Amino acid sequence: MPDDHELMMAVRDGDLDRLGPLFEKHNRHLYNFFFRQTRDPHTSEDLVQDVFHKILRYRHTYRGESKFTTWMFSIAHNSKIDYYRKNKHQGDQIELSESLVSSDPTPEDTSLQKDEKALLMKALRMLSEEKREVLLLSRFQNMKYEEIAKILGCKVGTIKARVHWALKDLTNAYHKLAGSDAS
Amino acid sequence: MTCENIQERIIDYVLGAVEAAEKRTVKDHLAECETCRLQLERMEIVWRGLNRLPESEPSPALRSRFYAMLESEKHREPHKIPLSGRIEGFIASLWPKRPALQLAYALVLLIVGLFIGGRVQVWEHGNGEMAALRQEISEMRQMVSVSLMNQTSSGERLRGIQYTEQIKHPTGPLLQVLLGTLNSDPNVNVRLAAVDALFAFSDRPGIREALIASLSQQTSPLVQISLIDLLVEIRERRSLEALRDLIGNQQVDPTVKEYAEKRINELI
Repeated sequence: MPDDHELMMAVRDGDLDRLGPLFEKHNRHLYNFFFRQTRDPHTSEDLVQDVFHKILRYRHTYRGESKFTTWMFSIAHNSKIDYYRKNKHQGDQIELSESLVSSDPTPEDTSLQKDEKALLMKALRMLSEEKREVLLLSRFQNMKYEEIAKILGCKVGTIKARVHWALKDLTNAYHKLAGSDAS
Repeated sequence: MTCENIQERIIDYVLGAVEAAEKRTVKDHLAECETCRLQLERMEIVWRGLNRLPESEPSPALRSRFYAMLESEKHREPHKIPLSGRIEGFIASLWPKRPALQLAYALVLLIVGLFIGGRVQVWEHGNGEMAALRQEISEMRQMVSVSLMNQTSSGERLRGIQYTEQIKHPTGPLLQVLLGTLNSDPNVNVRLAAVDALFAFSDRPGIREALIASLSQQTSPLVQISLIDLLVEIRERRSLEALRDLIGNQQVDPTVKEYAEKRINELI
């Protein structure tokens, strides 16, 4: 079975049907990458569609020097930035309401405390945009720091530091939400 | 090793990014220090937990939208390229193979051409309004295009840009609006469409210079790549300096820099 690179080279050379298998393989990853950041299913689907549209449109720029997924997530990162720029005010509102509900847990929150996954997702949402994105790429996409650095256009050292801070903040947020904060 | 020193390494330890020798040091410290052990446990719970988070499923609409887009792109393609090929083929098929016949054919065409040309000239002379009417239509198109490009909806602005395809002789104001769109429209797709539209008008005075200047103003990698393509395509050697600045700029996306480095050779 052809790998991502072979498929994309075929797409670049005009065999557009080969984009189908690439979509089938990656649409769910991309969708979750966006959904975990925007929390909106419609926006996430729009963004996935936008990524594949750009892949088609800019297929001639694909050189295959880095992995296909690195190239694809670079496009995804840019699509997301454009989305936030366009919906800046809306984004601010979401962040605000999110930080209000995610302060110290009250006794009524006990049902949520039992659900570790829900807590972790809530803690993830409390992270800054930048930290959340590096965690999503390193943990969920299993990407190396070098790949993430290429995607975000930063130095490897910056990414490493950002992952460190992200994990630190996430740990604190999670345990604070779970009510087991020892510090 | 103190707790403070070990803190940083604990993160690497959880991330699986410590060397074997260092791993030993961390382990030794953890065996003795309960605070650090607790910190490690707290972090590991979170890091492992991330992997267990459920993935969400997109709706089936995503798949149908993707394949609809792919189909429309496939149908757009054959019209774009083979159409010119088909026209060439058609003209070639009309042309006789034997040189004597080719000469006769050419003579007949010349006579027919002279005859038609003469008639049209007489007719056009008597209908001076025709040229005025054409001018009026062209001006109207430009007005519609400019007004669409000033709309708040990005879809309308895109339509305005597409409208310029029908305009053969753009006026200064239309070109200014197009350039303004390229440099400051908030929507990246609209800016990309503006690059394509300006490509058709790159022979107009001032446009090439404006396109070179625009390169340093763009922040979206996609628009930057499109502009690089355009400048190389129109063989604009004056853009070399701007391209070199782009390559040297710390803020610019590495993929864009790499792309610029490749294409710059085509201009040198």
